[in-house]
Amino acid sequence: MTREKKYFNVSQLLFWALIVLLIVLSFLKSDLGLFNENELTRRHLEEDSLNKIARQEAEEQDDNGQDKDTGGTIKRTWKWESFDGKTYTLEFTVPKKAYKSARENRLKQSPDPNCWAGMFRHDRAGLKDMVEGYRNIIEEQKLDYRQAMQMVVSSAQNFNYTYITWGQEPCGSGGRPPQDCKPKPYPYGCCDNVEPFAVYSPLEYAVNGAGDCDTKALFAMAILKYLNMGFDAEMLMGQVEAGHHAMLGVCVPNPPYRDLSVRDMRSGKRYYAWECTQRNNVAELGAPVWKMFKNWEVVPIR
Amino acid sequence: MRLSDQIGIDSDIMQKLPADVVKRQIFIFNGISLMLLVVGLISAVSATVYALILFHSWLIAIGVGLFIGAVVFNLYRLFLMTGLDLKGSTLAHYHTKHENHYREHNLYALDGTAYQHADEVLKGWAVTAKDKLRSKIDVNPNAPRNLFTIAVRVFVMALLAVIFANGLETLMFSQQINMALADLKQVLPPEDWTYKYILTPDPDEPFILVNANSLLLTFDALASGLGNWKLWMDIMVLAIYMIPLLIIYRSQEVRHGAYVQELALHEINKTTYHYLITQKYCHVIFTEIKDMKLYFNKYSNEARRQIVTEQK
Repeated sequence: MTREKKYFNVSQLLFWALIVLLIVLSFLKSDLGLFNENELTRRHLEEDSLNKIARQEAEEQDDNGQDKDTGGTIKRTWKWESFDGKTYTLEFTVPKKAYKSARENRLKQSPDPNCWAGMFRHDRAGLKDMVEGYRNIIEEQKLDYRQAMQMVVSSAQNFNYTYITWGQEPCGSGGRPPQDCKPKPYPYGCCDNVEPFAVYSPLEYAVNGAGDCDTKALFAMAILKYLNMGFDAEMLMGQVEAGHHAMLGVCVPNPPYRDLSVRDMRSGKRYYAWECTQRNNVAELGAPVWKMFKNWEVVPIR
Repeated sequence: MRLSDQIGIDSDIMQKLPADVVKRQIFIFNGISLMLLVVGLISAVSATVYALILFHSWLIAIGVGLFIGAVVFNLYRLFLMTGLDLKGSTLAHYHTKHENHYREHNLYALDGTAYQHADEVLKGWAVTAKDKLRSKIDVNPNAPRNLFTIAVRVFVMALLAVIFANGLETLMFSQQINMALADLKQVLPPEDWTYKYILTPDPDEPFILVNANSLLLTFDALASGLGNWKLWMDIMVLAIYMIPLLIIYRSQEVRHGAYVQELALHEINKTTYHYLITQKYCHVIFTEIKDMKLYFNKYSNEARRQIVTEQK
């Protein structure tokens, strides 16, 4: 090939190589870690000294003097009352890296109920310490199948309801309260831009405590499955009079009510709907929250 | 229709060249056309991203994207086609001053006798002169170019490249930008101006693609998130926009290629033919006017108003 021909051929090759590189980068951007999501906030805080002081104060002011972020881990203490009237305390730590990873993993999920399984699979390692804490409680207190299940579900119900929204349905619109992403009494908190499906992962819920129906149900289901103690739990989704909804589904022998239950067509098992957004809602007490209950199905999480 | 037709290449003028030369030239211009289409497409996509952030409407964004993409494609096409000149070729001597061509090929000798020949014969002479001229083509590959016009073209395209690079990167990293914006929103108090007007959508205009009302904040998130990688990605997009220009100015196959020479010969041939035809019909019309035996009355006011003709 002459030098003249080479010039055009090499230039053309370079052009298409750059196009291919751009396409590959757009697919691999998350894996390559090219983007630092925290930098914008960090810069904002550094440039605005008033904001920096406010943030430091907020970080130093822990909830009940017990929650602190230390070193590479986040420490949390949960205290709640279960249905048997007993008060349980659970101290646990979550690696900061695992928290960040859980968040990144959530954003990679598809915007549909399949994202629950993706988050469930990912968060197992990060919640190891918390799950061990639950296991210790069950073993020390010698809780039976139902008591243990109630203890776990009541811990998920304990935090106040928080609206979780995404880009298209922001806080402050459609009857939702303005953005204030933390669990608090009525008017509840609201978390904006929780992509892709307006649901936090179990690990994020463990750290923040902010969640609505699917976040809380997913957390309770994940803990029951991670415990690996024979609890049979799944995610349920369907419609109630308030609209689309998600609940925890548990398979228990001799349930006290059968109205709010869904048969899993794959296994033939019947799962009883357990409302996780309402404190003290006990499956065994047979107090259904919803009058309308239609189009419900079991979403298998593996 | 060939791809090269899209940028205004007329491959029919290369009929007298060897088949392999024509094939190579068409391959090159097809390649350049495809590059220009890709550049236009990147510009269209990038402009769509900009418009989405500004207008929150797919319909408007796609309209703006298509318009901007077409503008960039045609601008680039203009830059390329006007960049094809004869600097360094002996043809420049004839192309810019046709008298040289007429003199060297004895066409001045036809003065006054062109009318004696049919149009086809005149056309044949013009073609013969063109073929003789083709044999005289010599190229100096190191001939200097007009650096000012090159600099203007490079500057304009580089500016566009950097602008559209931002849009493309915004599209590529929209998910990460949204995460960064969500983080920022968490630390801002709800009464903050940025929180209220930039990070919160109007109820009837939800965010699309990027959860912000501001291009500047989006770019700030992009630049702070990517850090030095932003520079490298800008350079990549810049290179994509610059390569077609580089080929036009540096590739001898294009700059002094057969197509450019043939295009010049084609234009010289056209002018030569029209020169001969003009000679012929000047004579014909002059003879007709003479045969009319016109009489002009110099002193009559009436005659000044209109040409008075009468038979002698």
